[in-house]
Amino acid sequence: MRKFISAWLIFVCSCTIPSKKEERIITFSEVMKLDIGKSSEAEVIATFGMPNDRIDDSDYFTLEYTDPKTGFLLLSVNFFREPRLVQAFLWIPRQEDKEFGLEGAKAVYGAAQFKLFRDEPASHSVSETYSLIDDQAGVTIRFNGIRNTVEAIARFEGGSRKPSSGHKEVTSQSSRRNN
Amino acid sequence: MIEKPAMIFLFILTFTTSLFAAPKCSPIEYAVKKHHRREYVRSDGVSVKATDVREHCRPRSKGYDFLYSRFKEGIPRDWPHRAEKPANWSEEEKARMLEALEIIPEILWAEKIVGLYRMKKSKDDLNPATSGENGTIVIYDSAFTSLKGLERILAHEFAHHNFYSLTENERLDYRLATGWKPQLGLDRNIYWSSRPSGFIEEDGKTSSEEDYANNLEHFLVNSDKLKEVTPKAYAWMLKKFGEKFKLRSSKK
Repeated sequence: MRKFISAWLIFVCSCTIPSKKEERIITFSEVMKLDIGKSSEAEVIATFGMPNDRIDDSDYFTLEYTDPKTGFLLLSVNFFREPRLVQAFLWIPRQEDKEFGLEGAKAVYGAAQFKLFRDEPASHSVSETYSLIDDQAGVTIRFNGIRNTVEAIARFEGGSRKPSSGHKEVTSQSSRRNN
Repeated sequence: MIEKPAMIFLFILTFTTSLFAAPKCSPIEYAVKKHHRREYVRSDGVSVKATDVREHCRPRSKGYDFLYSRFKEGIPRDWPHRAEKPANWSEEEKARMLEALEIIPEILWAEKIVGLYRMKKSKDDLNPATSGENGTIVIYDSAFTSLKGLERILAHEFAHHNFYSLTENERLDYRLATGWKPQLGLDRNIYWSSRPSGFIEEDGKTSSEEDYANNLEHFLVNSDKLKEVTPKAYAWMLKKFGEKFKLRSSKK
């Protein structure tokens, strides 16, 4: 009888103790559904779950999500402080993601009218990092020009603000290297 | 019959020609031409005296095969610093470069380095060398007189190329582990913003790549200082390269 009670207790306990919460794998197609200036903090949390980190700034705050497999930062979403709506987001594609390749990322924004910018070369090193920016559509793709791999994709509210002088637009006269 | 003055002329001609011709070396050797070597200081503090190096044969080493095929004249393709002027490699400089290379761990001799160029002065006066992700290294005049030591300067450039050869995951891992974060700037560009402090060299703040090159250079020559100033970078380097990863002449 005692053995039966012990076995019953073990069975009941194993049912009531919650198993370790399984972390969600966030996909870019879900992230793309975020509506800049419209999606709320509550909607973001409802879609992606509780963030791994929250960073507060004076004008905005950021929710950060990491990849449960690698622990690397995957998604950061900036919010206006009031109303708490999405201001911009930044996605760091995983190697297995389609948008990790430059062509895959460009294909996502097929209608965008990108301008190509290059990181200003430093005197000590000349990297091959470029950005494709469409100000009107509100998209930036930062990529490595030798490997054609994407470092990050950002979405923001479209407008007419010009990119900084820290990045040089690549024109047909100064075409991209190693193409 | 040859006249006596003609015989003397031929003798002098043969003698002088042999003086200036490159020595005949065996296939496993290479010829070092006569040159003057200026005094210099190595990164371990050892001062090497000036001397006149005689023409001689030296055994071909792995370092020789790596380096001598990569010495290039002129300006690298698409070099962005257009005001910089090219120079020629001297025999003395090539020998110094080889000596420096041979104390750098071979794992850093990246195959993707395709050209070592020699230029006069960097656009940033004090800068002794610059690396390009397209496989170039430019060495400036100041590299040969720098008190830092040529081997350390070369190790720093090789560290840049080591960064270029990291996989995307490794780059990301390094950046996140050492406090770099991607951020969307107000100008709609994406930047890697630096950690607030803990830089072993001031210019490490400019980019995660420069930070990596500085940290790897210090890991090779003075890992205790790196451990103290940037412990997270030290831990990352230790995990990747192991604790025996040092310049051969360096003191801990």
